[in-house]
Amino acid sequence: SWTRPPRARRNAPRRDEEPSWLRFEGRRGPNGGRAREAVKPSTMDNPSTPSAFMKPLPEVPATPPAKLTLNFYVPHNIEFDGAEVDQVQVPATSGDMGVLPGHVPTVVQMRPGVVAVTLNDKEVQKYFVSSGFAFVHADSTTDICAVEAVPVEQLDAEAVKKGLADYQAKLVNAKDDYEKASAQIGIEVCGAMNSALGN
Amino acid sequence: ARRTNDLASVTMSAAANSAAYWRIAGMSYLKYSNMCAEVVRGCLKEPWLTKAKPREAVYMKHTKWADGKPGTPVITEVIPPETKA
Repeated sequence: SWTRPPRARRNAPRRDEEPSWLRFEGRRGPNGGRAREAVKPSTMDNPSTPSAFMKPLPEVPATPPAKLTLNFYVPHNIEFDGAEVDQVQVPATSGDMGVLPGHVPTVVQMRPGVVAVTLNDKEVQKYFVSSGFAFVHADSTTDICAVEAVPVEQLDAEAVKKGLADYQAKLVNAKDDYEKASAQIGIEVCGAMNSALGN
Repeated sequence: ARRTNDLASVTMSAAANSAAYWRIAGMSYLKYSNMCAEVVRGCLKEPWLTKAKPREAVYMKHTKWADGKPGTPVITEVIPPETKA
């Protein structure tokens, strides 16, 4: 005998009333087994990510460039700005490091020591650096940032020796950790200046 | 007693395990770096020594604001120590 067709769900809209872009997942899966229907286009742009606002990174050249581009800054002065040099030797906390064009990108913390810049094959300029950081980028741009960088000729050997003795005495008389550390800083820097001056 | 989780105590306990002597003593890198610079400035030869003196001076004024009103300003002034005559 005749059987009634299955009753539609109580709250389901009738087929012709349902917006074409709104679909319910039926028992047969996405689209309820119906052919794919058009999605109503959105009027909003996709959200931007921070990388959309970044400048593109400098290209890594296939062969290392002939010279290193050096930027050497201290807060109150610019020692080198985009200068083309052959080599830079940097006193890192993990040891002395020589940077040639094509050096692997690195970030190093510098200890008090001498930065030696080899301008042409012969001319070497030495700066005593109090501490800071050196960055080598993929395109062989080297950035050296320090609080104080003085040419080694500007250091006073007598003052360095006197300072070393003073700080050693302060270390012995230090009352707490902070004073001890301050004295150790003095000894470290004066010792480095001493060796930079060749003593 | 409640264990504190503030940055200073966490850093100190971490520093005590493996860090530079100045970090263990409670100095930040900025403090260490500026102290190194002071030592270097004190060992310069004459014309550059006087030129470096203004760099030693520090003048800061902090004012804490609360409820839209300024509190008492705190002035931090570091005058460079007298150099050898």
